[in-house]
Amino acid sequence: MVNITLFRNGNQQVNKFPVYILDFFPVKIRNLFTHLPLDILNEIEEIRFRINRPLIIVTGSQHLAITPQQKTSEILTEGYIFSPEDMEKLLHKISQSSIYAWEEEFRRGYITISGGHRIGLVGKAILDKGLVKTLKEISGLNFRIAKEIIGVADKILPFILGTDKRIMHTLLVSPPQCGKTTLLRDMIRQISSGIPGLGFPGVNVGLVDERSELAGTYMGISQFDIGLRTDILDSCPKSQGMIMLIRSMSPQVIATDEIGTLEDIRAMEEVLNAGISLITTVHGRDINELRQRPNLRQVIENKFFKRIIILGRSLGVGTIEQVFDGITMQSLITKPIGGRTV
Amino acid sequence: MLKLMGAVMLIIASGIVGLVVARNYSLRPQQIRYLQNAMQMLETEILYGLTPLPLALKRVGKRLPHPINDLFYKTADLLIEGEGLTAGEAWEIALHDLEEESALLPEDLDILVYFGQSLGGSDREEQSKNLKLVKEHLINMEKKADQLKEKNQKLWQYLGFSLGAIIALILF
Repeated sequence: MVNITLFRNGNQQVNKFPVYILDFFPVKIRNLFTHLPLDILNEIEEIRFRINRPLIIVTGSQHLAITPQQKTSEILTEGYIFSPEDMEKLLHKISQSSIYAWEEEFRRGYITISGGHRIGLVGKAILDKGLVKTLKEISGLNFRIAKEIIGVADKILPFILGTDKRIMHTLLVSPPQCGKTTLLRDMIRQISSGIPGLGFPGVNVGLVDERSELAGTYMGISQFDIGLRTDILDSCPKSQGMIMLIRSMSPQVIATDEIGTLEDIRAMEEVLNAGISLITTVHGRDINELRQRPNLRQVIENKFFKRIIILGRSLGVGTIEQVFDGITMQSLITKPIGGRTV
Repeated sequence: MLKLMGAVMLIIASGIVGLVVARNYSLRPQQIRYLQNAMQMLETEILYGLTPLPLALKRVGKRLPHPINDLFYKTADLLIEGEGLTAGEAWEIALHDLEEESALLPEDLDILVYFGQSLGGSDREEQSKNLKLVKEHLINMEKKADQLKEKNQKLWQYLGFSLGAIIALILF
């Protein structure tokens, strides 16, 4: 497993730019990155490759191109243009020249690499009986640098720990890129390993990681610290995975990412009936937006969740905008709690 | 006396040349057969094992005799070193080395170069077609090489010695 150095930011530890990612790039592309200033490297959230268009790095606040002279530029057209040959070489490097071994990943549209980072893919879809079988002629890639922030969940945990020292059913609501996955990962870690500050000893956690994003499992080894008592069901559909975990691993808490389908909701009911606490997330901006989606409206009206937490970016990535009591629908905080200021 | 020794040495030398040429004729079909085995093993690794190519090549190399195994080892090493070579490029470099070491002819190597161009770079279905094609080509080549062997091996085995004897007779 690759060792990721962490640097401190207030009380939180944030991982630096994982330099070994550059090993996945062909020499020509790698050389563009070697002279970038460290403060920009550390801020990179995404690196985007699109054929015949400039290579773009996405930091917390802006999109930047890298010029052939290895300087960053806000004028994207000045940037290095990513050629079809570059794409071919990049794909060979990522797949270890084994595209055939990644068919399943191509079908899902992303690859998880060591370090838990994700590479999203687009191209031409090949259909088989109306379902996407695989992707061909890849035209765009997106390297998403996974962030692991130890301690980011500190502020949220007191709200979800009940008086009987049980974790409450919790729903995290967040638009994309607001730190939902990072927050959930740290919650799982603390719930699983124990939270000394709150007198919580830690419990068995079952994690259904359908998109290999939370634990970042690569070759059977999770690339992030997700706690001492966490069992991971990797790449497994959530609805089936939750039931499997109940039967096999006797978890006290089940965690999963991005619920939404009817099957997910049914499986959630099973979890709740089995007396297991559920922590999950959903895409959305606020509660009213969720009410417009039939499946989720049912979830909220049936008062499945005891805590509903809304994330946003108003005070930086990972801001806790609202914490609702899911039964009374009363807000438990008066003003947003700031996120990380990276 | 000296004359006799010279004559014997001449016969032995040209005899050996003949034997070496004859041996090449019998080595070529043998090496083509090893390549067929290798492709069969590679097919299992790629289509059923979904093994990443560098590892698959190493595993295949391990079960082959010299010099064919070097082709697989070298390609795997070049891919692992990873200066951004595609599998086809690495394969071609390794083939270049094999050309000098083996009894294979340019026409055999052409088949392998062509095979290398789509090695690893496509989905299972395409890889399967590519492997099937190269195996068929290799079977054809083996037949041709066998015919050549039948025709020429015996001939060269005797030709060397006979030629040596004739030259000795003329000279002395």
